[in-house]
Amino acid sequence: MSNNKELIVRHKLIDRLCHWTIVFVGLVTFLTGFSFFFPSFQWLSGIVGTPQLAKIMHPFFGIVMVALLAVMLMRYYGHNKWNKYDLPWMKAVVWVLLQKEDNIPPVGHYNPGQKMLFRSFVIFVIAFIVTGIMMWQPYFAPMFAPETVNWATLIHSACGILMLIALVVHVWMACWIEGSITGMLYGKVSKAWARKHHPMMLEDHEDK
Amino acid sequence: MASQDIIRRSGTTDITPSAQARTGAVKEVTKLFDATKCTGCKACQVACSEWNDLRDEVGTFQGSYQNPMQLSPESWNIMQYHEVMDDNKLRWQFTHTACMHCADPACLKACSTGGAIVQHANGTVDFDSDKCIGCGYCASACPFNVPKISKTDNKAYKCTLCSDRLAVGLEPSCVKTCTVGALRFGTREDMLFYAEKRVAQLKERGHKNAGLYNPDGVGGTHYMMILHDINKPETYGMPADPVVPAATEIRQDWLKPLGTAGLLATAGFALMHRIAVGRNIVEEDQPGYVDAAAETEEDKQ
Amino acid sequence: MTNHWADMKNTDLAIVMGGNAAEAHPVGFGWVTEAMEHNNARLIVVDPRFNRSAAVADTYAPLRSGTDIAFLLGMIRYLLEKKQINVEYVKAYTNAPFIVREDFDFNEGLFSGFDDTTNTYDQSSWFYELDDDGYAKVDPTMTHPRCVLNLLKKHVDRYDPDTVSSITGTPKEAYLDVCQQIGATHVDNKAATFLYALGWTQHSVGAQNIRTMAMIQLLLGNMGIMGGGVNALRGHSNVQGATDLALLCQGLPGYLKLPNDADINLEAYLNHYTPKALRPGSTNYWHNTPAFTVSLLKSFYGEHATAANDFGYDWLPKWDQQYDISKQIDMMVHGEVHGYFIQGINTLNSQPDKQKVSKGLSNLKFLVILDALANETSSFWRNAGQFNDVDTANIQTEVFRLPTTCFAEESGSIANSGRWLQWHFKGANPPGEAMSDPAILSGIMLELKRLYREEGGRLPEPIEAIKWDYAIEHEPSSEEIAKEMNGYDLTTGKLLNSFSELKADGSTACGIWIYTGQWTEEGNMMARRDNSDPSGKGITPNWSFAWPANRRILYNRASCDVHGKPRDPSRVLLEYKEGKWQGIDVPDFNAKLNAEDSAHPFIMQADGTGHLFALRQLKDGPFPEHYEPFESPIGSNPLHPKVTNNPVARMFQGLRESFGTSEEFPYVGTTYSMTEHFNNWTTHCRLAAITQPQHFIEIDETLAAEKGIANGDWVKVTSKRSHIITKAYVTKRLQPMLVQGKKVHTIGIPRHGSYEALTQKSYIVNELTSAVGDANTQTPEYKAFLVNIAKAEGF
Ligand SMILES: Nc1nc2c(c(=O)[nH]1)N[C@H]1C(S)=C(S)[C@@H](COP(=O)(O)OP(=O)(O)OC[C@H]3O[C@@H](n4cnc5c(=O)[nH]c(N)nc54)[C@H](O)[C@@H]3O)O[C@H]1N2
Ligand SMILES: Nc1nc2c(c(=O)[nH]1)N[C@H]1C(S)=C(S)[C@@H](COP(=O)(O)OP(=O)(O)OC[C@H]3O[C@@H](n4cnc5c(=O)[nH]c(N)nc54)[C@H](O)[C@@H]3O)O[C@H]1N2
Ligand code: HEM
Ligand code: HEM
Ligand code: SF4
Ligand code: SF4
Ligand code: SF4
Ligand code: SF4
Ligand code: SF4
Ligand SMILES: [Mo]
Repeated sequence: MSNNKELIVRHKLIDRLCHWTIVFVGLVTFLTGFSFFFPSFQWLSGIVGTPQLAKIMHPFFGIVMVALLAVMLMRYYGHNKWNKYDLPWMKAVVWVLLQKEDNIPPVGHYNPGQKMLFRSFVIFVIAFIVTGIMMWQPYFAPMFAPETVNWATLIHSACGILMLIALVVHVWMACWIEGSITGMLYGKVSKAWARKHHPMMLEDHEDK
Repeated sequence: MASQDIIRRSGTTDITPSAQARTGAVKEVTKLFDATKCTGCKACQVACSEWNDLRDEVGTFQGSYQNPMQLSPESWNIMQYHEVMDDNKLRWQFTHTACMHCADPACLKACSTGGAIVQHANGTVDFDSDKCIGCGYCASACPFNVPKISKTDNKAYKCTLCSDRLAVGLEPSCVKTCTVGALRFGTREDMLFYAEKRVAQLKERGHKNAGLYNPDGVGGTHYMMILHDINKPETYGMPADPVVPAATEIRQDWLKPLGTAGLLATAGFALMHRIAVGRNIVEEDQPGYVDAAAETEEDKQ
Repeated sequence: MTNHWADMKNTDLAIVMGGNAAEAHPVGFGWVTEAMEHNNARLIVVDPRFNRSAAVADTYAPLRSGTDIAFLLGMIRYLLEKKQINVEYVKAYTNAPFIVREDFDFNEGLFSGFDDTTNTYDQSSWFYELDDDGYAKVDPTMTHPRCVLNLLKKHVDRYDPDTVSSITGTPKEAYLDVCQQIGATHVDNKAATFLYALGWTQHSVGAQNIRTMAMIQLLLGNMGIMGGGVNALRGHSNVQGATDLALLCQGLPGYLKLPNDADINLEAYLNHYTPKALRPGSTNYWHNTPAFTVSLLKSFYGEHATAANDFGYDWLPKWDQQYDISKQIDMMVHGEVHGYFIQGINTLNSQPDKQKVSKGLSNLKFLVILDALANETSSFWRNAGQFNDVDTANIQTEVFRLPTTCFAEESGSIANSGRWLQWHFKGANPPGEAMSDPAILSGIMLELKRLYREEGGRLPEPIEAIKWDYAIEHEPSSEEIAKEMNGYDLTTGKLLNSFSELKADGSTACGIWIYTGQWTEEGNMMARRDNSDPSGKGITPNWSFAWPANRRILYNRASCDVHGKPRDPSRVLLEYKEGKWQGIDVPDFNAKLNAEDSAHPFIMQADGTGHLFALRQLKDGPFPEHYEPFESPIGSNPLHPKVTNNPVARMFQGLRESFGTSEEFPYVGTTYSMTEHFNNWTTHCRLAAITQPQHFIEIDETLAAEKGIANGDWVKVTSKRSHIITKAYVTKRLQPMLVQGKKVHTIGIPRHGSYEALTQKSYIVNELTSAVGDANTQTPEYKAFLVNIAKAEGF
């Protein structure tokens, strides 16, 4: 028990740098994107200067964010494979939310909720890059039929909305599960934290 | 044109149009093209470029009299040339191609930016370059493929129906220049009246299928065309049944409210959860946890 | 034009043939659409190509280029046979009843008097039989076998519809449909108008093309009425003015003749060119020739012109032979010209047979170019690769370029096709060192005068005698020149009001008699801009000034019958009422005469009639006849194989050898304008270049398939003289025609090729054409020559 506060590594430096760059770049991408989507939030484009600049910047920031995210997703791919512990956890998801710890089956490095989020990110990344390029004026859009671009716009904005919802969930969870943000910030979590939230991750570590 | 004459603005969630001091004072106008009269001379193309200071690229021969081949930020109207066989007789059809100034403009509906597209009480659909951000939503939504984004300044351009000329009581530049009177301009009422007479005359002169192109799918247009054969607008390079595209309607009328609702619901749920369930703390990690435990131990001892 | 642009709205039937009005005269064509919409007029287009005019026509009929005379003579046959002529009109106003000399004859393609050693006609037999008073004999019953009408009947008999169709390639039904529609206008209350230009003029039978149509208009009674007439749509904006001021090299301003060596003094000249009336009572307006001529000489030489020295008549140049441009080029090639001035024409580009033009210019010692732009001609010596493959090192011609202003940079008048002299005002200052044409020419003139004065020289008198009294000697103003042209009364010093005031005694001076009235003591009549049209018939007497005498419709006496009653109550121009003439137009006759005495409307003819038989006025026959183009796709004339081509066409030594045969060059090439460009100089204009950026040719789908040419492919078009490489437009608008049982393909060649401008570089199309020309006007046969075509590598 004496090693309760002992810290173990959860996120490597490179991943943490990636993550927080994504957060920064994503902020710009999302806010500018939403300034186009919701006219009442056009003022959001002010974060990069003018609406015109926002339009120019958005896809570039988008590309950077998507690229970094792709890196991150690849690196975390291994952790996010579906396994036999996930189904029981999913069935107990209500207990998870209600914080009834005793009823929660153990999970590994990531719980299925995170894995689902991860999967949605994969889809979003692909959708954004594909539709985003099709919409990109004045460079690429003229190469596609207007109707196609129009549908791409619909999908792109729908993904924007869905991803934002997903991110709200992501941030909500991050804030709720205290210790995870510091984990993402400094890379380490305590064994106690791990035991509580990702017990089988600890096994990984102890195996070593 | 005075701002109170604007009846619709892009990128706004206002439900009621802004107040109009001079309700009814402004009549709807229409540009009318008579394909049966047009000689395909391109004077309208040149006049538009002259008035609006546009200079497109010098292109190359593309297998037709048409040039440039497409509308562009530097070509707000172009003449299309179609060789069509009708009843074994050749007809060489010319189409003056420019913004249709739809009563229900898909471009305005799709636009991302407040006031970048406005519809005036006289029916003209006008772009405000100052506001435009060049997202191109108008370009992809327009069922007539009209607006084009400039590679130079990243803004959308199209025929304005010469709103600057209209504002001072002049007719559009292309109309003024049209060599044979194939283009006309006037109140919508007058143009409809004239078109009806002209179509009747054309029928008498042997064009049995003559008719007026003023498609309902976009609520009618403020640029209308008299065609030799109204049943075949595609042979003029015009869509048979133009409508505000479904993707635009879904995005603006469904995705926006649903998206807002979804976001608010999720955020609300998160807040509730926070209030109800509170923080998920790993107690061992809390400051004082070890001390507290030690204290207890010590106390016990 | 006998009529004018606005008048076209009054027509019932417009025929665009030998031109492409919608394309080459897009604004004026508006009056045709006006007639179609508001006068329920019909439009017929007869053209080798389905062009922009055809696009708005009710009826389109194709015909092989160069066969209009067959088409139209066949139509005359149709009209005579179907009795679709206006008998009263023909009897009273044309020379149909006149009796022709017995020795006149037509045989196997030749008229009487042909001399096959010189290839010219002795025209003496082409005349009326005269009575003892020197008047022409007339048979009002028109039954005399040698009266014009009967000779015409005989002449056109060979042109039955099948023959016509097999020569022209026009399908018979289409042909008869056109004949029927045109014939229907022979009644008094219908008018037809013919709009033509280069499609008729640019042939070795150009003048006769137009004459044939004029004959039809006379037979139908369509001359001298609103909505009718013979309407040449002119080319360059002021080419009408150029023509008025003596475009052809044997002319003097106002359609006076330049003397030749036989006209040894003024008296001989005036005797030669002042016609005698051929009918009693005929107005014979040219009897005023002495007054016009003397006033012209007074305007040239001022006080140096006196009765004692024949008003300076001897100083006029006397012509010995044709000096049209092609002739000049031919002389250059033969080393007979050393220095050359080119003003406002892009010779290398626009004249036929570019290779020959280039050779000619290369033979010069010096070349002076007055032009608003740097065009191909001014750099003819520069090797531009395949576009101008010359050997620069071997060209010694020294070229001087003198930049001029263009129309918007000076004020002045422009004469439009409808004879309106319209004043325009300067809109901008000229760029750089550019000077107006008059200023440049004055500079040269003053320098010549100075050199003669100081250094002497041969024949200084004509130069010394020239009147040069402008306020600024080296820069005559348009205003001064306009007044000089209008003419002065030299005794009062006042501007003249009308050419009827001109005198043969030297008391008046006038630069061009037909323009008198353009600038009177009341001011500049050309600058008038009151477009009110009280009659609603397009007669706007206070808009600018129409020569002659502000008359809007020529021969308007013919709009009334012999008794002065309007032939069509809905088209009243003038009428004889209450013992006097009244109406909306200026009478084109002596309005002091009563109805019957003035009933000879064609006052410029010595007999007062419209000429179905042209007398000696044209070099190639008093009647038109179908001759094949010099390069003919069928090689011979089906009507008279021995006389295939116009026997008296303008020819040069060696030219025949440059003709290709239909075996080697099977397709008919024809060149023309497109709306987007004006000749060649708008290829320098960005907006025009955008609307039509690159040269191409047009071919039909059948030929394209045969040759494996796809739309947009590069092709090489070759004539016996040279070739061009350009792009192909494969179109339904051209169709093969069935001629003498043989499929004949036409290759349409727009003429706007340029390699020194803003458009994509292209060959000059006149690489292909030949300098063979019309017998009367020398106009080259740009509209019908032979070519071959093949797919090619592009550039
Ligand atoms: N836009 C524009 N306008 C112009 C000009 C220009 O370059 N561009 N040029 C100006 C000048 S200088 C002139 S002279 C006029 C010329 O005016 P037009 O004479 O009207 O013009 P073209 O295009 O030379 O020829 C007219 C038509 O003649 C047809 N054609 C050829 N051969 C024959 C034939 O044998 N019989 C008949 N019936 N038709 C034939 C051709 O297919 C063509 O459609 O236009 C003037 N206006
Ligand atoms: N194959 C073929 N050849 C043709 C024809 C055809 O149909 N087919 N058509 C013929 C006919 S009808 C014509 S009219 C000719 C036209 O042939 P061109 O007269 O050679 O053609 P443009 O291009 O009109 O050239 C006019 C020149 O005048 C210059 N210019 C303009 N304004 C002024 C001015 O104020 N002063 C001076 N000094 N120069 C000025 C312009 O810069 C330009 O170089 O082409 C003829 N050639
Ligand atoms: C995760 C990343 C991204 C998010 C959240 C996002 C979000 C959005 C949103 C919400 C919009 C507005 C849609 C509308 O108004 O209907 C938008 C527009 C757009 N996005 Fe993205 N986007 C992302 C990535 C990208 C990428 C990678 C590209 C380019 C490759 C891109 C290119 C565009 C373009 C071109 C537009 C059109 C508007 C404009 O250019 O101003 N986006 N984006
Ligand atoms: C302020 C906003 C954000 C916070 C506070 C935050 C917090 C966190 C935390 C604490 C973790 C670690 C979770 C764990 O250790 O289990 C994490 C992981 C991750 N975050 Fe964020 N995040 C934010 C925004 C974003 C954004 C905008 C993205 C991407 C668009 C993103 C993508 C990821 C990914 C891919 C992971 C890896 C975990 C996985 O694979 O599920 N995050 N984030
Ligand atoms: S035609 Fe296109 S750009 Fe013009 S108003 Fe209609 S939707 Fe808008
Ligand atoms: S490009 Fe401009 S006008 Fe078009 S939708 Fe975007 S902001 Fe509106
Ligand atoms: S109305 Fe004005 S802007 Fe529109 S096409 Fe005509 S000239 Fe161009
Ligand atoms: S200006 Fe008039 S006639 Fe000419 S192409 Fe345009 S619409 Fe047709
Ligand atoms: S160029 Fe001038 S003269 Fe020719 S059609 Fe145009 S306006 Fe008329
Ligand atoms: Mo011409």
